Amino acid sequence: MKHSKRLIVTGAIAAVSALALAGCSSSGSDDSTDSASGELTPVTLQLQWFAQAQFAGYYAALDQGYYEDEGLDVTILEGGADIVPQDVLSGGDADYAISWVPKVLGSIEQGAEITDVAQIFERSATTQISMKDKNITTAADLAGKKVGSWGYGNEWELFAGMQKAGVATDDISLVQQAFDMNGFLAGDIDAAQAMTYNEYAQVLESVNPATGELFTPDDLNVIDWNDEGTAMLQDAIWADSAKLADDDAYADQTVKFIKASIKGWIYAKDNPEEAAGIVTAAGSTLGESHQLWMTNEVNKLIWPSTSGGIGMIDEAAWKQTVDIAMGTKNETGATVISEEPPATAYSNDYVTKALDELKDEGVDVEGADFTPIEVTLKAGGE
Amino acid sequence: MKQSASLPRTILAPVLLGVLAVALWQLAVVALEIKPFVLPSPVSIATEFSSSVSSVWTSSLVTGANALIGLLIGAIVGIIAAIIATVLPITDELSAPLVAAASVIPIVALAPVLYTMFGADKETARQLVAALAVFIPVYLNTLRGLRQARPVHRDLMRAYGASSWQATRAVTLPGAVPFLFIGLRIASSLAVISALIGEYFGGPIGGLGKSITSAAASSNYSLAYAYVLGAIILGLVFYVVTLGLEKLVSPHRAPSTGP
Amino acid sequence: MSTEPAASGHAVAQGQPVASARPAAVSVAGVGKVFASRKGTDVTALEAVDLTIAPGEFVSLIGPSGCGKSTLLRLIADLDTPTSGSIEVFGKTARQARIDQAYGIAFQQAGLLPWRTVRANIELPLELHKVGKADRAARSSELLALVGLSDFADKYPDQLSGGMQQRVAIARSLAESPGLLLMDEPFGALDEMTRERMQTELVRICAETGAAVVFVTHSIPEAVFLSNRVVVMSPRPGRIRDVIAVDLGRAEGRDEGLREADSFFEAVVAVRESLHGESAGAPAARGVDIR
Repeated sequence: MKHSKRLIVTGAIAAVSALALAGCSSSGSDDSTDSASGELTPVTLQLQWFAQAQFAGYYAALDQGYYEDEGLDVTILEGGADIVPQDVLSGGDADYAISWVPKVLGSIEQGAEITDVAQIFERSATTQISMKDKNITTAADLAGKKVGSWGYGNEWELFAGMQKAGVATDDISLVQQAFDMNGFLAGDIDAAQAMTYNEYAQVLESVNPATGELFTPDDLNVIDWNDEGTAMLQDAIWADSAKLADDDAYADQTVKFIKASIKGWIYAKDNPEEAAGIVTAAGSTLGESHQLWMTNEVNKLIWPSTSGGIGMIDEAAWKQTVDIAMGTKNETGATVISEEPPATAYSNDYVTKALDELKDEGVDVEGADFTPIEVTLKAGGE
Repeated sequence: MKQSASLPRTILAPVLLGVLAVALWQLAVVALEIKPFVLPSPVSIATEFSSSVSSVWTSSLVTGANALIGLLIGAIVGIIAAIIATVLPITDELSAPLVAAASVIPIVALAPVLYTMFGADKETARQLVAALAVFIPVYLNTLRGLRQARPVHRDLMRAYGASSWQATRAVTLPGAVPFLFIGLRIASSLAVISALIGEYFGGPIGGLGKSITSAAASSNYSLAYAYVLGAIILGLVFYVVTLGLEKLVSPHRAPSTGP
Repeated sequence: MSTEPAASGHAVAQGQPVASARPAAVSVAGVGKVFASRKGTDVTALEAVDLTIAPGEFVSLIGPSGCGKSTLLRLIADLDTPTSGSIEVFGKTARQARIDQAYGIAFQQAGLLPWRTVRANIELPLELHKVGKADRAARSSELLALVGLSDFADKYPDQLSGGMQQRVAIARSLAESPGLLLMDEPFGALDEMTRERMQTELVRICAETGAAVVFVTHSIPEAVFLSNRVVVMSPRPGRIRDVIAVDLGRAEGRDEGLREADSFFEAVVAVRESLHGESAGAPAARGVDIR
């Protein structure tokens, strides 16, 4: 009984959204008001982690009504350690998901039919940090050290960097890193995995026992995989490939979703403090200064855009990611994927449409004049 | 002593049932076209298993070693504690609430604390987690075993004018052995599970836990299940060895389900 | 060893043993046992019990439930202490007798240790008393032969039937060749045929070893078949109602045929009537009512 009720409701929504979208598209390309029928299309977005400024653009788009302007009623689902966003998308429990390209390439090879429709983060934020006195400045210096990684698919840039520098996994002590920096701060890990926008700041928010003051960047060495040439593409918006091909309404919705999300990210670029506040209000448990740091660092990954506009998938960067995914072995000798991904793995069609619409509206989608702000970190990130 | 049921019943029937279940699973995956990242087929799991056998083996060795150390430590401490609690009942009264609390909290929740205490790069924390999980059933069951004494045996010892040490050696200790093994059998599986889950919170890479999650994070569930299969085999090995040990020590009785 | 030399057909009134130079095997004087209960209703298990058992004498204790026969046995064994009165075993206090291992004991449950072989179970008291390995082995072989279980020496108790387990328990009770055997319904759990067989065995063994026996039982035929005297007890409070001499000849003469003898039935009747509350007057007349 419940099933048929669900079917009717779903059918009604589908019918209505079809009408709505028909109404939208017929009234022109820069439609920014509610559809003719007045209904918002419910859309679910699955994040890769808990609510934090890493996803500021989406929260800002929600808060500032950009999704609503596109006729979308978006629900944002937080992620967690045991949630695989691309599986949630493939399973039909979300319309879009945020995930890293190498993780999703693996899923695609396992049969998931999803497409990268907007590469939001152009640059990778993964680093391997260490205390200055360990003198670990390049991947080659990792030999003989205790190297931490979270696993869960976050480790490939590290392994690629080591492989490139000729450091085998047997040459290091690989340590399972918990999702905090306690092991690093206790000295149990020499070189720890850290995202520029999160764990790096966690260290800078801790007190250095030697000085009694907070750690400063001068206390740390950072290996940036972008510089080492083994960075892989990270946060992207993923959509259901089959629906993109068969369902025009979904395809149009995707363009709208991307467009509104981009506007949210532009808002975060121009108003980092407000964006940080929006994320905190959305339920993030991180402290204020930490949230602001995160917003600022994430902005640096996006702006200025060198790929032709935020969200454009750069061919060269994609190829690098795929090559590493195919060629890098982890400690068990496995690679992420064993063959080239299908052509449906990414598409610039939808983001191009969204960017064109925005450019027509006079929006700056490349942020060439972006300058990061100065963020002062406080103890514990408050 | 009851002889074990005939061969067909004890071995063939369960094996047949298992084979049937696996065949149904394979059929379901193929017929319903279930995608591998939703539920992999037994065939693909077997394929992944055979192609990763050496990796499963080395991972099992790491997890197994931690489980074994935890089992040994936990069992020895549990037995000694039970003996002390029998000899000095006051210690039992004092520790009873602690043990009761410990038996309900998931020991694995202590893992992060232990990693901080003993080093996030060491195996120690995982071994301690396993040891704690083992201690509780071994302690409780051994204590029970040491306490139960048939009145006729007690009368016999008194009639023989046996000293309390003689009575302990002749009656109490051997009488407690079946209970000890009940605890050990529970503990053997717990040791493997705890050692594996403890891997998620820190320590050197190399065990089954990390392998499972890495495979799952790339949605390679066939590979993940292959490692899970390795974990199952590891757990079974521990269980069977414990059973064998009991058979060795107490050849006169069927494996304990009770006194 | 024989009991008091009574002429056949004459029961000695009250079954007083003939005075001998050796101390009595068991001497119970004015013994009472009260079990205090929490609710305040004390149970008088035994009251004013007097009983003397001569060396080599076989005495059965019989009576309905609650008459205190098992309690009396336990007091003799020093498994419990009397509230009043005294007990002496071979001239020593019960406690000393226990410490000196003057008696062997067998309970209704065989009480074999399941993790020891049959032989090891028999050797248990010898082990506890620091008897050497070779001596133990020799003695246990002897006892196994005595009870007819030599082929089962290396089996475990749960491989044996109930009757066989009891035989092991009896062998164990004889391990140290005690002068006194205390037995609490050791054949209670056995079927009738096994029981009769065991009774014959027991009589034979006691004749060979010359031990005195205090034997608690529920069964009148059993008491009569085995004993020189049958002590009839009654409950609430537990006390001795009657002591009936059973003069059916020397122990060696008690074979299967005895069970069908008239004298056997008469003794059974005497005990039964005593149990059912008939006065204890003129037991002699009863005992000799043959013609």
